[in-house]
Amino acid sequence: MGAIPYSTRVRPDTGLTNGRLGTALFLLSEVMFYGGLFSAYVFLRSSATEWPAAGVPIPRGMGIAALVLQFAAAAAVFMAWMRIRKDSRSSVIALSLGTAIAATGFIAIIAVQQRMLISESTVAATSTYHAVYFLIADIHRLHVAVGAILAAYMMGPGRTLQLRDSMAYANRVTCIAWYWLFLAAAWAVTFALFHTV
Amino acid sequence: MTPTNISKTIQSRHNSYGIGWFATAFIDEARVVLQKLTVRSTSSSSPLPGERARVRGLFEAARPFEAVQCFEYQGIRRVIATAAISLTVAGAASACSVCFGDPNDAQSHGMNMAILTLLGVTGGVMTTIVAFGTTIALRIRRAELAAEMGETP
Repeated sequence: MGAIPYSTRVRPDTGLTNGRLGTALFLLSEVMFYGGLFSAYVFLRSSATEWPAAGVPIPRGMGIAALVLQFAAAAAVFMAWMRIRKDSRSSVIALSLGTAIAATGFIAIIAVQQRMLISESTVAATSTYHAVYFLIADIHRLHVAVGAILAAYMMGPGRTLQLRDSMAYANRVTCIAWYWLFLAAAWAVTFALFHTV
Repeated sequence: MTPTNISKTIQSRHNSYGIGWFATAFIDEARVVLQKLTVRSTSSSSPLPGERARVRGLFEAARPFEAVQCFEYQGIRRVIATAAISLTVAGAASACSVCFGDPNDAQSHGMNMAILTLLGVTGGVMTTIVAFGTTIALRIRRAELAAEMGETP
């Protein structure tokens, strides 16, 4: 497919296709981005005289529910990736649908959580604790929304690509799975920082 | 000395960045002003006669830098003006303990921890990139050895 080499077939020396290499580089840049956010968290927390700040705490129950949904979405797309690698494409659509639903649930839970905080007059300007939480949660929510769009692609327009070039479709599923695994790891760290540590 | 030569002299002195940099700038400025005043007083080619020509000559002499287009020198004047303003309003710069360097302050501690965190993240990313490069190099070497032995990699 196409004149560009290694767009679908694996390059022997790197063991990667072009898309996988690009995704890996993109995820490395994302690691740096989230690293900057976590560094800001560490700075604010280490220099704070009171942590967590006085006021309305971030609801832990909703945080746990969001974590479960995040892992469910990542697990579904991971299973789809495994099925594709074993040339078992039958349940990829169902797994992609599960990913999209879990991602939507995650976005909704974070929105409800923030609405609860705002209704009790707790906004980002209330304290540095809430400011850094609102920032990281909203940025992550944006990433999850992108992941939901990718999952919708897997079960929608991607199906035509699967019929035309199954190897190219498998590569894209692999890249999307990598992205979702990164999101799960990032949210696990975020949950640990705000609810357990 | 013509204005062009003065400009070159200023440029050469500025490039040296030696001791007395600002003093040299002031001396050169005075020299340019004197040069322009001398040129104005000895010039008789002005088309405007009488008092009007004399007033106009004074105005032009008061703007020596625009007359000689000495852009480097204008930069020096900006630096001097900025330094003077900074010294004048220094009391308004309320720097925090991080800038003052108090090692026991909470903000200094937080900054150190943030730097360590970001260093860890950056180090992890760099290590990943180095590992990727090393893996590729090993695979290439393995493929070359296999090709020499007539095997399919």
